[in-house]
Amino acid sequence: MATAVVNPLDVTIETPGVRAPLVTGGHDYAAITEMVTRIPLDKRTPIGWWIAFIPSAIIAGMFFAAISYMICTGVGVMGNMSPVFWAWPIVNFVFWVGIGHAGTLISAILFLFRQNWRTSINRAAEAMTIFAVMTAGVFPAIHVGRIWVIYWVFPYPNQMAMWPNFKSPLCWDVFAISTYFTVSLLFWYLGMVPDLATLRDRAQGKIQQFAYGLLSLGWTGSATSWHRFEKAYTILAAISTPLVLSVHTVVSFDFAVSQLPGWHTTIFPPYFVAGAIFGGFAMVVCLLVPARAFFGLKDLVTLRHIENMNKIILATGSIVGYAYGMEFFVAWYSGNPYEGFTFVNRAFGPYSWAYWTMIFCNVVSPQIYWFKWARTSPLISFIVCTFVNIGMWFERFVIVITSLSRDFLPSSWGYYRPTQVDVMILIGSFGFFLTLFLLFCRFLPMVAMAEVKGVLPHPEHSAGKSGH
Amino acid sequence: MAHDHPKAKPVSTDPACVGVIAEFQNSHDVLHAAQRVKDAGYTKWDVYSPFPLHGIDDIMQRPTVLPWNCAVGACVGLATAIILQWATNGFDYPIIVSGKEPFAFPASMPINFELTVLITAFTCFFSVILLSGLPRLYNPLLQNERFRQGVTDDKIVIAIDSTDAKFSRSKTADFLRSLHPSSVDEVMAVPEPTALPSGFALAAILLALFATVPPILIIRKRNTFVDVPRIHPVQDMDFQPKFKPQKVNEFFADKRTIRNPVTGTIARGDLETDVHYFEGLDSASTVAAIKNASFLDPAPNAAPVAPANPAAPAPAAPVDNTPYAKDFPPQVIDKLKVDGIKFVKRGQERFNIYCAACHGLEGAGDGLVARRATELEQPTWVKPLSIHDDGVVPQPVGKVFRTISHGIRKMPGYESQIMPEDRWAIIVYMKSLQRSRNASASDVPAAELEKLQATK
Repeated sequence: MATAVVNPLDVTIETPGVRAPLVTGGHDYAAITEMVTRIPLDKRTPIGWWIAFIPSAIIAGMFFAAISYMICTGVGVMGNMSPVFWAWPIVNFVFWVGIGHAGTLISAILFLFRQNWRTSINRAAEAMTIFAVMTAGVFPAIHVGRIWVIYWVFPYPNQMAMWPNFKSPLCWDVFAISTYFTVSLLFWYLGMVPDLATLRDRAQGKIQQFAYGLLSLGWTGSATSWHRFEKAYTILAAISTPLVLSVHTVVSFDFAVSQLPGWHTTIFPPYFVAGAIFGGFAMVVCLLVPARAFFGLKDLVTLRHIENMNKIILATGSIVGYAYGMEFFVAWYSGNPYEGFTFVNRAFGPYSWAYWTMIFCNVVSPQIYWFKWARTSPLISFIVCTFVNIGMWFERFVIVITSLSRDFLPSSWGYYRPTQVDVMILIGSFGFFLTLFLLFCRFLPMVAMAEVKGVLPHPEHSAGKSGH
Repeated sequence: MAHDHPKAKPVSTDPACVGVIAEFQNSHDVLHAAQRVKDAGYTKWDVYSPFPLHGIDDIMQRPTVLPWNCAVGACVGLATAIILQWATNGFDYPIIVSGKEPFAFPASMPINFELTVLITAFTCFFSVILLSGLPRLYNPLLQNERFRQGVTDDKIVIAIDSTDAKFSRSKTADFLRSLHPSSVDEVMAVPEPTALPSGFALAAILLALFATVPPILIIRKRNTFVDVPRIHPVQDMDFQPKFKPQKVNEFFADKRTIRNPVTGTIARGDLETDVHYFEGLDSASTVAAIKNASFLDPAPNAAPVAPANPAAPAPAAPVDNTPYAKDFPPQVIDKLKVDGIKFVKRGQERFNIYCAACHGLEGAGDGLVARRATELEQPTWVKPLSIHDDGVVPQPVGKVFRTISHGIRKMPGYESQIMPEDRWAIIVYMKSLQRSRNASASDVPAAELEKLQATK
């Protein structure tokens, strides 16, 4: 074991019988505290952060400007038009909700499976989840047309004697997404309280002390508190695990419960969940590869983390590829002419360009991860994961647009085109998401220090012998 | 932190010592020490560490009700979901959609699951916070520099509280020293800082002043008269670029917005060719006239119904050549045969709703409206006739029908309110009312007559 902490160390090599350390560089607890707290407590904001933040904030401003224009003018400024009424907003909504799946998966499912490598990346991934779900939540809210009566979706007694239709998948969706957001936020915040206490105790400025003091709720890390904390964390992980799987399942019901060819299939729930994890991990890699380099967290977010995530991307990407194939098989095997036409139309119809973009990005590009040099290269990871993100957006585009634009009656077929407002809203949503993520990087602990310390090899005596 | 230093220094003369802390460098030593503290009989002590210590729970043995709280939360969430869905979709406003029952259990599962998870998560979150004694704004332990710098970073601290029965300031400190910690400190109760941060009071006063502005504005606005329309930020569809009836429309030569039907057309369902049933006229003598008449002319056959002299109460118009129907139309006779007394009751119900207000429940012309108007001596009021009036009783049913439909003198026409069949039902009922005042013994069935005579 003594050799295991020698630097430089390739933690991506699995040696039988030897457990590779989760954190490289031979850091002790204090070094980890220092490495993580240095970022939010730094009085001078790094120039690089501003270079990323200012364009993001401007694009986020464009996002809200486009939305305001849409609300003031009417939903007609978007391209949603007969026969494609569910167009851009639902594509973006499903895309962003899908992105939001990685965080809670890492923090809950990998926690239950005792995958300790998750500790270095779960905080950032959970933050990404919350921001992605926030971005996603914008779309159903704005596409309703009269956003000022959006409260009608809630079950409250009113003069109209109007209740939500609880048998509708759209209503399930409201509950699923809002529950997922709330539980993810509680989970994220609860896990962050001990780290906020660390920030409070190291903060120098009055405002920092006050803010972190308030947010850390007076946490001292007593064994009694930790005991309750660990119990609560396990319970939250246990209930979040089915929750993660349920969210995209319910989102897929929006489509699968309807009778449209191409939507009405039972493969949708598992296929959507796999796709969501696929896209979510790709976004985590896209965010963490630059962040670990810029904020000097390479010893905490090691190449092994990148490699593990790439393995998950390869696995889920292959599941998604299998699902694409299986959809074609079932369309043929069912003997349903409408179903058959829909899939031939997807691959060779007017939207074939979108279909083959999706196939290339989602199915072909991750195959490079069969090679170890690709999995362990941050640059290639970043490029492939960007492709995956593009591909996952196109997947939702293909599902929503192709099925709606050509359904049963050829007389009502059409060709959907997004408007400038649509494009501005899509680009703007990335700005909004990145703005929130950059603020998180700057002001909150990006790595779960307490959890990383918990999985470090514990020194049994002051001599510092490592072991676990 | 230099400014905190004086507070953290133990002052020997200060009697308010809240506890003693011992700092350790690694977790292995702490577990031994914790076991010793427990064996020594202390109860109010705790171990503070930057991450959960493995094995400490077995030593401290402080179980928690947290999982049970979560179980209760789960039950509450599930019950809330089921009750919410049943009460709204199954009970208060049952709706059947997608071929499912009003409350369909399988379709309720997604929301049952989500709400169970949601309430459990909230219970779990608030339980861990509250059961840990948080949120806590002030903690004397955090005033100790060594404690504060260490426990959230890389040190582990055992603290024995001064409220412990076995606590003695010197003995407890000596005991802790015997556990080989890297340091031992007394933690002094530092009074909570009473002085507010500078500028806080000013900010609070300003904030309070600003907070009064919105209510003052609201009160002022509610008590002032404004003669301009209020601001209408959310217009919904209140102002639409469209023409409404009675508005000028420059597009047409006659400037009317509302257009007449194209000459010679009839709206769907309005083709009422059966003059007997719909107009109360004798079919045989009018059918030829109707066929030749323009539909847009104001009903030439009906014109004489309008009284020449509204003030004249006499029912007999000077000359009335209108070919009134003398008998009920065959549809009404068929209806009477099928429905019998039900049809008369229908007529009674309609009569009491539409006619009785003026004509009275018995048709004697003494309805509430008539009585009140007479009482007020309204100069323009024309008293409604009694249906038992000598001039009314012999009227042919067709004339009564037309009177109900188009009105007479002050009485408005009820064509638009009462369907033709109901108008005929009213006449049937009215005929029975009239008969009731002019009946003879022979009108009563023999069996009933005997009964009546027997009671007298």
